[in-house]
Amino acid sequence: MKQSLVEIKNFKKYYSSKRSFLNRNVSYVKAVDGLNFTIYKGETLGLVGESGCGKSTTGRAILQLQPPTEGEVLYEGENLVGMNTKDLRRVRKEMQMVFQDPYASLDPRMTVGEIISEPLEIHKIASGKEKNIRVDELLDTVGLSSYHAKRYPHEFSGGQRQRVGIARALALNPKFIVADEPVSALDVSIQSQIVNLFQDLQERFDLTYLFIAHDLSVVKHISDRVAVMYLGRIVEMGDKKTLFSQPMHPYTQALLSAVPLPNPNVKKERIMLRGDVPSPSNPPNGCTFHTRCSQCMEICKTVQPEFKEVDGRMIACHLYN
Amino acid sequence: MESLLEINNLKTYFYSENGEVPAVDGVSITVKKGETLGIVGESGSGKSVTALTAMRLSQGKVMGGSVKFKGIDLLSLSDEEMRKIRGKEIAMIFQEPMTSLNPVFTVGNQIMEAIQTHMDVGKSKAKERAVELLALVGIPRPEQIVNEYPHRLSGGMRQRVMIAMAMACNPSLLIADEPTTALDVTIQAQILDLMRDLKEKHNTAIMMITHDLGVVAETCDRVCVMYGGKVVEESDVQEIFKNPKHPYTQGLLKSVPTLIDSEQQTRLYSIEGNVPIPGSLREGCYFAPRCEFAMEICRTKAPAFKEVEPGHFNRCWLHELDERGELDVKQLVESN
Repeated sequence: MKQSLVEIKNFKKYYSSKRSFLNRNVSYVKAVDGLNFTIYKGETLGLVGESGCGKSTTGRAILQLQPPTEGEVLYEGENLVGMNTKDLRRVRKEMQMVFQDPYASLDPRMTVGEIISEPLEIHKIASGKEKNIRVDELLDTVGLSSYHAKRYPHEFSGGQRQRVGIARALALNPKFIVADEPVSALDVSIQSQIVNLFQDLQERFDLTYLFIAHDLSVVKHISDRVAVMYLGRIVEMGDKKTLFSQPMHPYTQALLSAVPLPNPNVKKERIMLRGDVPSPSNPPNGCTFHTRCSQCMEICKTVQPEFKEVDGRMIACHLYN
Repeated sequence: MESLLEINNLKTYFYSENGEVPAVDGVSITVKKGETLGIVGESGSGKSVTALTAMRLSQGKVMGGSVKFKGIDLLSLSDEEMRKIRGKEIAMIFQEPMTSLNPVFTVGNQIMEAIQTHMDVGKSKAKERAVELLALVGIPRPEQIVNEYPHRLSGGMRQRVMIAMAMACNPSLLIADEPTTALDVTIQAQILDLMRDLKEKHNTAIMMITHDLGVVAETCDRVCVMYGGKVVEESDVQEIFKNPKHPYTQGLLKSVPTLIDSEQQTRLYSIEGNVPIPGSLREGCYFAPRCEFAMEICRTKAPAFKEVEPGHFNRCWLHELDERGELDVKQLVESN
């Protein structure tokens, strides 16, 4: 039986935006609107979707970097939402994040050694010589050398910076890592190095990943299970193999068919979606995808489909009722 | 096929505190009438600078070579003569549509500017044409959108506006610098579809600069692969995917995960090392430090760009030595 590590229940994150100084009517951007899912120990859960679908918000809110508006986040059975700072700090040691932009997520005025050792100091885990040994060890783990510790981020290339970001995340021996688009800012030949590094580390340290990305090929490669998000909700979630070979939700189908394949001989049926993603501040009623769906029925326009199990996977679509 | 744009041995250098940086280091590229040529490379490979130099928009210094468009040497034109070609005969679209549109003018105004710069038409005629162009690129309600400001439009819509502006004077060459990189996949599919459509309708040649091998496979007829300011391989699109010759091209193709693979790979192939900083390499083959087949000669002498098969060019010592009978490449590749 798979053991759950993180459980997300009825999870919502709204951002409020005041229209103007005089107009007190507050409107909400529903970035994430009701998520329910579980991340199991040792697995990689891929979270895909287009920009604005709420995938990054989900990642950040799980780590309580931005507390959710509603819902629960259970980490090993403990609810993180509303937890006091002291307890949160203890739990946070086990959950770390790797960010998208390796240029913006490293302080340019700190040496790489200082960046990596900062979590060790904050949590009073190591200091002095012991700390330096740990930094060297971490640099070695991510494929850098100990002399890199004295250098500043600007002296590194994008791929190397991402390695520094990963070393920092590993410093506290976490169990769970949220990786938010960790390879999308990197060059093609560097991407595969970092993807391989993520896989090696998972094996070595028994890590659990929430891997957020918009690149479906990378997600397919690295994940065990995949969740597809659209406008703040998960529309389909299941085992990687079945989800990619037989997508059931019309949005998943369209998304997969839109990816250009690096093979000029493969001709495929493309499901072209019309128009743009609707604004999350004013999402359509019923199924949020119905405005762009080719198989839209009457019921889709009014009733929000339930997220439930169909053929061994979770799906939110009226077609499978 | 008749050639439209001929870039010959172009060298564009930048000068910085660290000295001379040869961003484009002897690039020769030909775009034929009505074809889509893909330029593939990673950051710093010189693909954008090549295009910008051809458009005379680069800040770098041209140290040699020529750019001929329909037989006219673009590099020797006066600024005014160049302005008559730029936007009319050759148009360009960029990666980030928000930064390439002016936020204080309506999209209609910006398209009309492009029209009125090159054609002798009045304001109302130009506006009519702008609406027509917006409809052409698939923008809904073009009569209303024409009066909107760029910030009111989504990324995909903005890129459509950029394309509308570029198509304003029916250019014979469209240079597209990473046109879909900033867009989501479903929007990317729409934009690529639109570009393919326009190319067929107006017989526009496209120079597609990208790092995405999927985009190349789907849109291009021929491909040039760039590395360190040089073209390392050139061939038609079928050949490059089926039979890549240069170790860099081979590595690139092997290192991207794809949705097609039925069998599950556990590890991705990866090219060792980092993308070189432009100007850091001066000797031999620039790919040698990362190449798994690198030999002594690769580090000291630069290989020549040679036709290895009809229409397929490669810049690599492996094939040159193979041809001379000094090396058995097949055996080498198999044993590796």
